[in-house]
Amino acid sequence: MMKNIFKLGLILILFSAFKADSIYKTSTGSIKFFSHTTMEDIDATNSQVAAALSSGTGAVEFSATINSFKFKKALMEKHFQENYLESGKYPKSTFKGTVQENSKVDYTKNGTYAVKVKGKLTMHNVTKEITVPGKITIAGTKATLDGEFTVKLKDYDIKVPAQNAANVSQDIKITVNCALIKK
Amino acid sequence: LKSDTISTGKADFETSPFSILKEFEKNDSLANKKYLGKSIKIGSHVVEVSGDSAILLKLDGGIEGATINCGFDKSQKDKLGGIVAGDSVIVQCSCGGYTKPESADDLLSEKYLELNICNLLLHVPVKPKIGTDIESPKSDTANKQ
Repeated sequence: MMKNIFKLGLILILFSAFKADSIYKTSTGSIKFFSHTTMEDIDATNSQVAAALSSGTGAVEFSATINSFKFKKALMEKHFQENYLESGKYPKSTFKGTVQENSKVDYTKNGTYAVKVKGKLTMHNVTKEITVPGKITIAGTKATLDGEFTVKLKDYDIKVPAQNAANVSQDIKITVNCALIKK
Repeated sequence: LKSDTISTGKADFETSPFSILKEFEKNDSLANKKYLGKSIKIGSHVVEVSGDSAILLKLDGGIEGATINCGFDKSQKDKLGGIVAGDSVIVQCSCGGYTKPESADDLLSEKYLELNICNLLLHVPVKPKIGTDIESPKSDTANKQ
């Protein structure tokens, strides 16, 4: 009798775990970056960010094409893409990580959950482990990921020539906003 | 400047989805050197229309499991309003590069060529719209108040 109850319990646990694992995806996420110096404020947006999230494991992935970052000034865009980020050699930036304490996020209940996402950010062919504070907002079949963090250009071996150094901050603020749909 | 003319001037390359994707499949870095940042004129069937702040048309890539993802600025929302899956389009865009999964267990499992700063050159609906020519123009009285 006890054996059967145990088996039934195990089946229910496995079933609920399986049921909870959904994949959320988008191809139109947004990542913005902002550089502030006393000389100039520079911002750029990429609205074609691919992102995916597994509600079961909390695994999260982002992929952003460098040439899809759009600037207000075309010349700055060219410098950023071709010279600083060397998009010809390294056309993409990626992040692969995990939502910490993913079990606290109830993907079946609308609401906003504060989370930290830990993982590896690859940019300009350099990979660094980072932890990003953010939030996950659940609204029906939509899971919106928001986060903000700062990267140091020198950490990713990104060099700005001396003549532009006063215009570009060494600390770049990155803002992530991706609305993912349950697939 | 580049951003202003890439999707309206003469295209650097006119190609088909199958041809360009095969080049990226064969040699990613060589194709990147050839196409990245260049203007490309390309046509295909629309697979999906998505996006809020910016509009994304996913076009049939001509090879299994691959799409051409064309990003449009939100200012073109009205121009793209009537496009639905199944329609045919010709676009001119800047090439952002090719993406494919690095390993089999990647969550991001799609293969796609990313195009941006797109301009719609031709739209052929899969079904002609009936009765659109007899619709009255919408009143903008409310906006003027």
